[in-house]
Amino acid sequence: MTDAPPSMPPTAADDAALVQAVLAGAPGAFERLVRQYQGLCWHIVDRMVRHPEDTRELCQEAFLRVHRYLHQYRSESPLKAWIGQVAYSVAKRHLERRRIPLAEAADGADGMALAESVGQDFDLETACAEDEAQSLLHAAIEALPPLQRTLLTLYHLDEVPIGEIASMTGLAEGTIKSHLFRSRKHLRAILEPRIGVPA
Amino acid sequence: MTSPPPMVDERAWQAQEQALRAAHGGVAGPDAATVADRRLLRALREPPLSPLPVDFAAEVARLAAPPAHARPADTRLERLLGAGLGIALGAAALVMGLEQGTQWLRAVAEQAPPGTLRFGVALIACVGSSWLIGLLPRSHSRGPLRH
Repeated sequence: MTDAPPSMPPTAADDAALVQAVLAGAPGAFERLVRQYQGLCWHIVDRMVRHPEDTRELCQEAFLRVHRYLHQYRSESPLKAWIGQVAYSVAKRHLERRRIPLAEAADGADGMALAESVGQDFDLETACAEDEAQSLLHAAIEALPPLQRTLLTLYHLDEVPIGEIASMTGLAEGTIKSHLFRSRKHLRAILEPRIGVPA
Repeated sequence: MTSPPPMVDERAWQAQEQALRAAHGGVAGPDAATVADRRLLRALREPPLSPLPVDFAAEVARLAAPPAHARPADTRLERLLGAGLGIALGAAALVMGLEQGTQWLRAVAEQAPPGTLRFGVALIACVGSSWLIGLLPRSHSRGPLRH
């Protein structure tokens, strides 16, 4: 990956200075802002749409929106959450235009069943090897609905707190926890029979 | 739009979080459940992502700021051309008015009914003065908006 996060996360003062520099038209300031948050934006959009070319176009669109509406940003919420919100809404609108459901039905009939079917098709003998188990889990994650995939990535890879994920997605914290809990439970259930975990 | 999932019990949520934290921190022993949690955690932290292009930030910055060096030059040229055209038109109108204005006025006065010329001049004066008055409040109201 080329989008390794910076060693130190930016403080609110860093964000405010960067925003001021972009608004003042300082040379290179907007590119710095993009570099700072491109990883987060890419993760959100990529997890939502799962198509490299669409991801690139939608991420561009998200950052152009950020550039256009940056004067409306108020530093009450972290810049990361604000940019994440823009990226999420751009990707969500893309899915809506393509009539791709964002989340599975409330009873879990759609996405989770699909994720489980990945496990059933997998070679049970070879799945014990760790790398193969990772492949199995990755395939199951890929089979999850866009919202669940995105929430898992934001929480576990980008380590975004639940409160900030709620700001980005407009979902209630309880709803996010519920999605995370159920997704992890299903993924673990796929893994369990292969390493002898009692049900 | 799908309806939200049923709320998770807070204790169940905390138990799952605790198990994953323990698996990550190596607190728990290497039993099968911990191995499963570790593998799950690793898969969640290394999801299959398409690679971010190396030049992405530079490309977006270029798109956000279209040729900034070219724009002022274009604007300056447009302004110069516009001003030149305006001056040329104004000068031509002035020359034509000085040369033939008296003839035009006479012709209009001869063709139109008596008093029309005076009425026309009065009408132009009225429209001009109301336009000038209209400029005053507008220039006052614009002032504070610039600051």
